[in-house]
Amino acid sequence: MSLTQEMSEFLQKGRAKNVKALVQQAIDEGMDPKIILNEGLLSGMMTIGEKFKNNEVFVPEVLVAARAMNAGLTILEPKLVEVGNEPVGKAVVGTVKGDLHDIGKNLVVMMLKGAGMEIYDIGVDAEPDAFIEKAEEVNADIICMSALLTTTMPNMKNVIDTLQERGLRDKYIVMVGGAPVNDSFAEQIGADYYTPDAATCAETAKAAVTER
Amino acid sequence: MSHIIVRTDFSVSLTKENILKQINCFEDSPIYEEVQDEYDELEATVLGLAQPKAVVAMSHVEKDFASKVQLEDGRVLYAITTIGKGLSELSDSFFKKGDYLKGMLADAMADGCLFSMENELMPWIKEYCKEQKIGIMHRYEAPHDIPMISQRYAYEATKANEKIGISITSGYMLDPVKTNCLVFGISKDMNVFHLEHDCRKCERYDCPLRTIPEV
Repeated sequence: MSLTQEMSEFLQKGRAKNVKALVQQAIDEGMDPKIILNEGLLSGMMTIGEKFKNNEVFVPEVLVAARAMNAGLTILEPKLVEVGNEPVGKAVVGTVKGDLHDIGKNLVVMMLKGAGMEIYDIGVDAEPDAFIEKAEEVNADIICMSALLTTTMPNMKNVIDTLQERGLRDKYIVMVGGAPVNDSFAEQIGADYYTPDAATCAETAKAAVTER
Repeated sequence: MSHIIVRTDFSVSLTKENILKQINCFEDSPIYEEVQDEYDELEATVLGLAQPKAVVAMSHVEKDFASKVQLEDGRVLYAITTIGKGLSELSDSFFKKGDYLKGMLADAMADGCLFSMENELMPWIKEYCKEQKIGIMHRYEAPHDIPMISQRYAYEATKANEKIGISITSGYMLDPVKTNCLVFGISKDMNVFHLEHDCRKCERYDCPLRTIPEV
């Protein structure tokens, strides 16, 4: 088994110490940091995300895997900066105005990081302008909105309408999610994608950015 | 003006098995022991940060709300319970540090504290109703039984901001996020007490604590 395969296996088991040690070993052996990232850490996260979608593992297993990835990334990040590694894409993520739920949004942030995206988390109860201003500021690819209430779902449309008004709608991929949201609502408000869980969100986001 | 009662004398407790079940961590999980250890490490901090407060008030209901429910005498009993902001902030801080398991556990434990408060509050509500010579005909929950705006009516009737420091968003969500709004329809029959959450009507079909199948 190669070093990166071993890294991926340990990551899927949530073994943070082993992942850190293997990342360090790979760096010491002069392995390209991008290979460590893509074939070791991100590959492990994509596999665990796939297993989650197929009901082979539950949320806690994904959480410990993501924690192990994070442990590996803390060592790897300075090396990635040195070689000028570009993220898969940039995403602005937040819970819409009037809604304070953050767990779903936090899980989406975690999985998007695991897909190699650079994340800008604008928190909860976020004004439509906050999504757009942050997206413009960081030159984002994706705007991800979460809502857990039927009373706050319409605020997703406000963000999309504001994008339209400013002539920015086509600049961004707009994704929506949350308990009361579904495909037909996403279509109705003019979002590009609805995803039912954080793992699918990460997979869809990566594919959408790559397709562009 | 309705009588408003504030309670802070809760002795919140948690059941490890229930919390683990809430995050879908079962005994056959390869990381069950690890999650248990993390739970044990967190429990004292969580219980120390919980600031349980409740406010209860009887009120006549608004017209638009009354049309959605069946009431015997036009009144409901509102109860708002909260454990404060501390636990949500703790959970969020773990997520930001990349310790996702602790973040998720802290969030589930915060919910567990709310359930524990509710369990303590129910016998008290029963006693209170006996004193008032009334019963509880029905428990209503937003948004599936009653509209979300009923949380605003509860917030206003209980003076939740003034009494226990709760605020409300434009989407009628109570702040802090770990706050629960209970609405009970009053019965003239003081022997009737339907206080419990009814899983049969709940739309959270994937809830690990669901006791019965969807109907």
